[in-house]
Amino acid sequence: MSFLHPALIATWLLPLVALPVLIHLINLMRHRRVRWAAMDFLLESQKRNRNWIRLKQILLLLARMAAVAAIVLMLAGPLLSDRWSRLFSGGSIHHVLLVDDSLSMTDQWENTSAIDAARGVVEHLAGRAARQSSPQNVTVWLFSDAAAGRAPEILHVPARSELLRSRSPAALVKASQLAVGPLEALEAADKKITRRADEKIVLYLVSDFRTQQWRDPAALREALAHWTDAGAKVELVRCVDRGHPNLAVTALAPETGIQAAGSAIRMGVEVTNFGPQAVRNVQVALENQTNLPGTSDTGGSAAGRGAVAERQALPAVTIDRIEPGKSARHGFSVMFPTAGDHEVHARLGADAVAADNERSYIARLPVDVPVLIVDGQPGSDDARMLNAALRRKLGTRPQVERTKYLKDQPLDKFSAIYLVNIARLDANELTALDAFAAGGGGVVFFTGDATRPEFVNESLYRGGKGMFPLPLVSQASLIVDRLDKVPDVDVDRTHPICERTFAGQHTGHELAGMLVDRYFAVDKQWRPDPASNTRVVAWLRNKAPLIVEHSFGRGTCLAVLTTAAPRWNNWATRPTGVLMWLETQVYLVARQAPRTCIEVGQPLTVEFDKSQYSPEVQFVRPTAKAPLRETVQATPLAAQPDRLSATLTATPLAGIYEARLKRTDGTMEVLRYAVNVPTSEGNLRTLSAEELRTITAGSPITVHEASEFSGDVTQQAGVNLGSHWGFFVILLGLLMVEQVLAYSASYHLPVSKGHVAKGQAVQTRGAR
Amino acid sequence: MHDSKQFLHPEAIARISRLELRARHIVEGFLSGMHRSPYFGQSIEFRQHRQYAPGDDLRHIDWKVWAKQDRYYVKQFEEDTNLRCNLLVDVSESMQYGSGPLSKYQYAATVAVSLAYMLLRQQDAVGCLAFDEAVRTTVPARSQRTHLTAIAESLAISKPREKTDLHRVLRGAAEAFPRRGMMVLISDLLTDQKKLLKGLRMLRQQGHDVMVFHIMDDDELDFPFNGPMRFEGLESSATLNCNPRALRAGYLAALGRFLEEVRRGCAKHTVDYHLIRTSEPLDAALAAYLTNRLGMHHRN
Repeated sequence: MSFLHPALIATWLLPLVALPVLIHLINLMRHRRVRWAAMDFLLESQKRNRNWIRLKQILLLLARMAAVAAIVLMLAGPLLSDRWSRLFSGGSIHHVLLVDDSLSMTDQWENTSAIDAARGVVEHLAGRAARQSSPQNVTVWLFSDAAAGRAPEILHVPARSELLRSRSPAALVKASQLAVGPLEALEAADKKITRRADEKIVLYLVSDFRTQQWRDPAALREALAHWTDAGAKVELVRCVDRGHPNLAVTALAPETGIQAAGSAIRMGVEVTNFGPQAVRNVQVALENQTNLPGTSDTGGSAAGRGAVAERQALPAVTIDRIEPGKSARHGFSVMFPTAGDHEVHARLGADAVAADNERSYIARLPVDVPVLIVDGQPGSDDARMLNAALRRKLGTRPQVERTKYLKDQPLDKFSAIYLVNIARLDANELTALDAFAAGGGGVVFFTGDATRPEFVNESLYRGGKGMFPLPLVSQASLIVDRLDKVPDVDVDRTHPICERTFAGQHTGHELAGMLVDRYFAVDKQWRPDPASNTRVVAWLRNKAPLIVEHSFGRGTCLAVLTTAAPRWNNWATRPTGVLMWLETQVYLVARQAPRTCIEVGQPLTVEFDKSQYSPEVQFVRPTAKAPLRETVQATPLAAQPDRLSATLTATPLAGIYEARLKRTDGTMEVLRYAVNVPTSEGNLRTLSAEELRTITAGSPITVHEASEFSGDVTQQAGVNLGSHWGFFVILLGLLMVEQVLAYSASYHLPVSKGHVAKGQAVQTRGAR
Repeated sequence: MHDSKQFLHPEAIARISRLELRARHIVEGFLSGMHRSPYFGQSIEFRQHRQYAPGDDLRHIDWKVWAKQDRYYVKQFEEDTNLRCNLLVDVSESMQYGSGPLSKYQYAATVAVSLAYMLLRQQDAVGCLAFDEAVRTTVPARSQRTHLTAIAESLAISKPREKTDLHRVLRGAAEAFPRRGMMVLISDLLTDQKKLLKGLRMLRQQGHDVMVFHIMDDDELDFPFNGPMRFEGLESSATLNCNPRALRAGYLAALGRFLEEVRRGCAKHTVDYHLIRTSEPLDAALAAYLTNRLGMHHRN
């Protein structure tokens, strides 16, 4: 048993309990002397009643001492061991507190938040452990630390140690912006926490228990079973009683891919309603910040962010209605007049979780987009027509060359290479093209009269290992059927190229105008392997593939089994055809666009050419206070020894990060990255206590609410008997027993008036 | 309403210092409250006539009056007494106790002198013997009225001391007063009960008419003490520290047994026994005495 005020027991219990004895001793010295005549009767009475009187007096003394002790105990607040208290009793205890610090724990309502509740639980448990007389050790481990493999700051620390006195463990509990679940934390703790034979472990899982995190209850049950099977007591502490409505910006990205500077980019913002009810008129504030080209001579401005311009507010977008649990997208256009990194920010109004109300995007725009057109038949219409079509895209700079250009010139500067009606490539050209494609470049093959299936199959397709998506058989003509109204071409409208080309057009009218006379046929049995990344983008009326996509290395290859010029088809003469080539170019560029957006917790990797930059990369990352600089030594890539890679592993906060590369000429190049919070953490739906109990049914795991730990530590240490009515009844009973004993021992005056009870005194009467 | 006994309360008596005055005050006050003389008996001196009432002795009917008036009257005479009364007054240490205005000793002395006054007034001879464990003073029986002073003085100078040895005293009294008379023992009787009864029996066997006035203080009869007490024996060296309320029941039971046995013993030996509280008016003893005297006449 413990006490609210143990000092009262230590200081006052014995003196006060001894008080009746002291009063008794004082009374012995305060006897009133009487010279008495009838001593014989008195001595006789004393002799007859001596034992009985002594027994009653001893009982009375004990009753008084017990009553005094009961009053002192009541004031000291005896704490009856409740279920919680029993967790703290029974020898040495190790309290392992696994505390959820994921982004969802920032869920705030009224004047508190989930992380505040978790903090209160930690403070309460640590304080309570410190009040126990038995050895108590405390470990406080955040989910993010456990998942990242970082050791806890408080690991098996005695609850009464100076460390915990000087620094409250609750101060360690801060919400991160990470999306980390309990499974990783449990597994990490299972490996880290040492179990001792003489120590009982009580594991507290302090979390908001989001449905999102408990999608795999079996795995969690198994992880918890590791603890319970080992004899640990597992307590689940819910920090949130219910889910709160929350809106989150879950996507902010270009719809059309990044083009060159000076072009307007169509972007889309997606807002997800994680609440239980539909919301209307959701306003999303938009901002655009144009940075100077990612180059700095000085290595950064005073603000540490390189050369930046002020933010510009874009017209806010309003989403009419978002159904519960659904997302809604809204497009908007942004003009990026200059090359360089441009920031786009989308922001919602305040709600339960603040961090997911904002999302950023970095658009890295080049000055222009060079495109190489390799003309297999110099001077042919194919290259000319394609060149004319691509030039229509602002910023795209097509360049028509012969095949030998492939081996003579570096291809890195090109975003895509179009090979038009080529007959063959020599080995060097082929090698250069392979390297270009494998390195992430986009390659598009247009067939024609000069195309040799043998060469294609042998050198480009290579049994499925080359960049060409499929083996060719021979040229073929599409039979014209005047009665059949089915268009010559059909497309996969889910493919990005077709999706944007035919956006909103589902009638087939545009497709009906696109005619194909000849094409390169393939084996009729050929079908793209479902396990591969080969995909048919368009096919002919007779189901023969016409445009096929295939990934090669990090690049993308497209095979168009007809001509670019309107010799085998009429596409070049149709706006839809031209638009399709432009979207193809956009698609290829977008696929190569540098990854400028990551989520919190993901590593930020920068790759660069070894010959152009110094291997030391300085990262600048935002913190709660000033930006923090961190220098990372780049290492060569295994696949590409001439390229270096530097990785910033710590991306704990959302915001704009910078990677500063030092060129060999001494100038700095600043690359910016947007780090956004994980979208999954916005879903605040929680498992109810009943659901948790159902999940953990059959195992000795109990579920608690954080409110059970609110208030003063001392008031939660157990059932306070001092304020329990039963204690008052016992005390009253003791006092009544004392009174009865006192009356019985004749320490009280009789009820009747005067000193003599009626009928007791000797009546004087005569007798004869 | 006028209370004729208001001047007989111990509080009032205590204000009178001289025993003779006390006695006179008591006796006169006592007698003034009566409508007729208590001294009736066979005597030579005629006192008055009274109308006959059934039960009256026919020998006392005055036939001359009947002859003249045809009515029955009985004659009444002043009693002619030649009583020798000895007052045995306990002056032992235990008599010193007193919680009221009068200690047991003072009460006993006052009763003794009052009786002496009343006896001397009717020409009886009164003697006095003060004792503790032995006879301290002795005043021989005389019938002169001036003898009251001697009795009073003998009691006034006898301060309570020593223990009580009633058997020895009574035996001495029996030897000292061989002539039949009246023995009035005034004591708290705190002595050996068997010896007491043995002494009383001895007196009775000698033909004495014995009266016992058992003087007890209220405290002794009621034992009203509270709080821690230390009792120290007046006639013994015994001491007792106790909570008196715890012993009260036992004390009263023991006292009750004692009184009952004394009462029975007195009844057995035809000794007139009266337990008198020191808080009671002093006429109680006189009334008891007169009752005894009338009864004695009836017995005789």
